Amino acid sequence: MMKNILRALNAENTENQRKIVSFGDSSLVEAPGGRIWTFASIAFLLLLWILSGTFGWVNPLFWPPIGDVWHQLNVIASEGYRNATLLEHIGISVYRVLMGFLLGCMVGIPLGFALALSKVMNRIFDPIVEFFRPMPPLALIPLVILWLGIGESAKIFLLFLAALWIMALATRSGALSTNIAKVYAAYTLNANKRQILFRIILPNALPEIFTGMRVSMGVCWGTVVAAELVAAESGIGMMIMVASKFLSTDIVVLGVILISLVAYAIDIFMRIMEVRLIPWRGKSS
Amino acid sequence: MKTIHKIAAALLFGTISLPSFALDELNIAYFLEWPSANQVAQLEETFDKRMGLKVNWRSFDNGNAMTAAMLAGDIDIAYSQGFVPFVVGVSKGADLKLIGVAMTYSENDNCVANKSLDITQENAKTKLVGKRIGTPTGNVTHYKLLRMLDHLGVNKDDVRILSMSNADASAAFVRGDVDMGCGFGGALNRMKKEGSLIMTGAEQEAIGLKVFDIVSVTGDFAEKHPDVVRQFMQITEDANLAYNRYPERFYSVLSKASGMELEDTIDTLGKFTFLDKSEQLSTQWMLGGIQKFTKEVADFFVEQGQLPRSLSQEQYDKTIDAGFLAEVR
Repeated sequence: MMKNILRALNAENTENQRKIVSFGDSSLVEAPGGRIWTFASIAFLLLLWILSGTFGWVNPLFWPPIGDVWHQLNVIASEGYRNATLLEHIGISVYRVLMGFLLGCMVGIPLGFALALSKVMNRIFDPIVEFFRPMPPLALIPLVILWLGIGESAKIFLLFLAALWIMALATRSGALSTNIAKVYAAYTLNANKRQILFRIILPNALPEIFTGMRVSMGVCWGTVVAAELVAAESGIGMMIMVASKFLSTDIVVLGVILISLVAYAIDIFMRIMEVRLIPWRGKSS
Repeated sequence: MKTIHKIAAALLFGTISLPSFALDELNIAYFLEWPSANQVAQLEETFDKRMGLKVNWRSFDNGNAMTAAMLAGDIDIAYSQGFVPFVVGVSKGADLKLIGVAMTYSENDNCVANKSLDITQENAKTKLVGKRIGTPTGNVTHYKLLRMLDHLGVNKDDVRILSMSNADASAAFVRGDVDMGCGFGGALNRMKKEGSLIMTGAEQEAIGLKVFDIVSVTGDFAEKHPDVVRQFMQITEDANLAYNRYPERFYSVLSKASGMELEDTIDTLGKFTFLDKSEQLSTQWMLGGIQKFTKEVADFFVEQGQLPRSLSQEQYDKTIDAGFLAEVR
């Protein structure tokens, strides 16, 4: 498991390193100390946080001491927050993000292929995509309440919108990046359209689709906090919003850290999947 | 760029105070759909002229955001900040000063229940169990809701309180997503068309619920620019007196200033009372009443598990400063 994670973390680095080497400066490849610098930067930030709390450098209303946040974690983990346990809050937020994300992929990826591969589809959907893409889903919150109410569907719909356009565009650009020579080569080998799509275009588009997935996952986590502002009863976003109304900065910071950790865990999982599923990433052109 | 400097200063020194400098702009927070007598002066730029400053009026949709903006140094004076966000702020250690009462309005902030549920004060105890209530949190509306539930014998853990903004609460109520919606101003008017009140404002007042908005400043600003604060209070007092004498003269101006229809403006203004200096400087308000009420509200929120702790009565007394108002002519 650990090995996989490290491999995933390194996957991008080795790729970059190779490119750097071809420019001739091999000293950059073996960064002295390597991973130590990562831990050093985290340790430095933690130390700064501890010291600033101990010596009262920062007004706790602006940034709480680390002890307060730890205390809140213990309190909320044991007593819950607003009629739900901490795990329930995390669970419901993860559920919303995953549902919105999966629905976004289910619609966005086929849409992206349609945009890339069919002139007619492109003419039909391009203006729609380009019209809605720049619109932040948060601006639609009041409308979404009126249409869908305040239940789960409204929140998932907002996250769906957040993921949809990113996935459509990533897929389109992935599909369009397919080297046309490969398509001709496949045709000369008597491949049919179906085979071209699944054997040539899809594998070529997958790296970009995966990048799109990771980007949209990040955007979904950003949106869920605001989506849970809509009639929130549970979720980490609701925890942050309600705590901010009572100036409980410690709970706000705790919520932010929890979201970052969960989102980071999911991102690492996706990197592992990426290494496993598309070993050809960066090796074809 | 200015903001970056402020954040840097806040991070480095744990405070926002920058070296004293001459004031050339004044930032005042206010609410939309919340007409007040001094908005006549806002529209006619009386503040700008008499103070010789550029006055920026910035609209907010909740009082907690006003507190946050004041702490960040972007707002100098908050006019009609809710009393409860102020209590929450000072209980958390925010350096705010209450310098006056903006308006009182017990009829303009309430909870509306779905008509079909037929909830009355007598049967609320059983009928409200398990019901969904949409309300803004950490403000007067929230406080009134909790006090009302307490008064009606409903345990707050037996109802499902959903946290939402004032406008969202009314949208959710009108759609039937919540069984009871709580709010103020225009949102409350929209909800009233679809539902019924459980307790009227007068009945709530009878159980000791004061509902009013305040004028607040940061302690730092009050110390550095007492003249500006005094002038602000003077202009507001003048506007209140003028309005109280002939309210109907100001309806159309205030409708424009608050962004509401004329009819709604008249209706809302009818539920507001603008206290003049002598009324505010009484034991019921600035000279004892508010001080006691501040402690009461904070203690109630602690009891309800909304705030971790409250301050002592002496500490709350220090956050209320009638001095500026006393110097008004």
